[in-house]
Amino acid sequence: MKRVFKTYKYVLLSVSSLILFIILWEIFLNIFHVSRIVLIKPSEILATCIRDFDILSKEMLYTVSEIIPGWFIGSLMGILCAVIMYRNEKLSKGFVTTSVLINAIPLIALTAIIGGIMGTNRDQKILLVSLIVFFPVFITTLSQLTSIDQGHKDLLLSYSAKPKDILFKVLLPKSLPALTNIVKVSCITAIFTAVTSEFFGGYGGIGIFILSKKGLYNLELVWAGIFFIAVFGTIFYFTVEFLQKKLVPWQES
Amino acid sequence: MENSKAIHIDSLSALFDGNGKHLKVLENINFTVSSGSFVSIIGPSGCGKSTLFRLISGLPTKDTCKAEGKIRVNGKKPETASKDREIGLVLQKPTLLEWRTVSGNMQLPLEIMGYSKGSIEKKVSDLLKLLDLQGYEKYRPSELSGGMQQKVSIGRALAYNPDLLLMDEPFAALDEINRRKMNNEIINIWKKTKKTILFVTHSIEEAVYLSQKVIILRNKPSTIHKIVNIDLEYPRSKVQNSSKYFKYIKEIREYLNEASI
Repeated sequence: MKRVFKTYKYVLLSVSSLILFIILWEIFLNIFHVSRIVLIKPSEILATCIRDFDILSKEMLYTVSEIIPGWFIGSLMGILCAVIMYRNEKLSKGFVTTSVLINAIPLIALTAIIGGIMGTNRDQKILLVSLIVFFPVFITTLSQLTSIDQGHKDLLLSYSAKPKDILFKVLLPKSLPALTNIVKVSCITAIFTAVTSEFFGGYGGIGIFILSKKGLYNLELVWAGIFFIAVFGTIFYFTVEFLQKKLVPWQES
Repeated sequence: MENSKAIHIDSLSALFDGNGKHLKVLENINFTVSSGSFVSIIGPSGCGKSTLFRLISGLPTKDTCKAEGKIRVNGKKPETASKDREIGLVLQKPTLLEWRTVSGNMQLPLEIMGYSKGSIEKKVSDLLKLLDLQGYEKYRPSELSGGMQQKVSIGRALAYNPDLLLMDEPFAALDEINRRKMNNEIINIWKKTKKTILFVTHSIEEAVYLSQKVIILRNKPSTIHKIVNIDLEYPRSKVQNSSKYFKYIKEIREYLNEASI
């Protein structure tokens, strides 16, 4: 009961600070004259969101269909690769070097390279997102799986535990808090990657929508697009956080 | 016959050799621990207690450590005895798995050793009864005190019913009151289960309070300085104010002073 109240309070606090921010923004624009190119009123943005909900949500869903599969595949591959490689130091070190190399390439260049190979379709975006998400998840999982408390190590040795038991009964559960954290943070990276890569071409999506409306000086639609991304990002992040709490209940205390 | 002995150690020496170091950590150690007895090892820091503990447990020592001599646990090499589930370890830190409950932690070795689900449940419920932990089954380690955590780790070591319990300063992190409480508990467990216990400690009082025999190690050379038999009845809470009890403490303290030079 107490915990429910705490969550409730937390939500209330976040929502009310957001509303306060929007109100201040509205008041500010009513008092001072600011060019529409710089900022427009939240009430106008909200009205646009409602008016053009259909097209906005259609474009957003297109981008979501790049973000979620990319994020999921990237996270899954990161975890799987670490699980496959953690017992082989040479293999994992070599692989770390390769993935550092890929991640050191600026996103724009990477988008261009992969776009050149496979075009700018949805699969390209999914691949890009999963590549970007893969790296931090892989590195985090690998470092979690290769570090173990000496006491646990000794006990497991004295039980003559098999590698399979060590992995599933100790290493993976031990890694869960850090692992779910990095997967959660990767939600935001995934959104950023998908939208940015759309700026450089594609067949649909909120990034392309924003870019084309900007060209037409249809600024309230640009802002409405940004608003949609922000709302989706928030929902995505907190959904994953909710799942994390279900998966790692012992971390709360 | 060495087989009647739970632990038999014959002219054991160990040295660290490598990385430019050449350091003797143990020299000519000889002692036996008979089945069902409670023996403590005490010594100044750096006398090789940890190395000795690891060697008897069958745990790997550092790569540069070379051991010579004979160690037998129930007549077998420590590694074999460990594989045959004859050694239970209790370490200085409770090292419980924080995501598992009290019961979950106790059943960890049983799961790994492939016991059936039914027998795991039976064993865990027996252990909870033995350790007086009923009602705490569903608690997580973070919700327990240090003493309780260590009790769970003793339960975990007893789960697969080893003949020998090796304990490495298990109560060192506890305060005086809880330490004494746990001392009484471990004596009760020992009386009920009739296990052989080898107990490494820093505390003279703890050694006298618990054991039938105290082995005093020394520095330079790292070997056995003295072995003192404690001829006092159990429970020791009844004799802890007797002059005989204090005489033992004084005697061991003097030996330790000599040993630390």
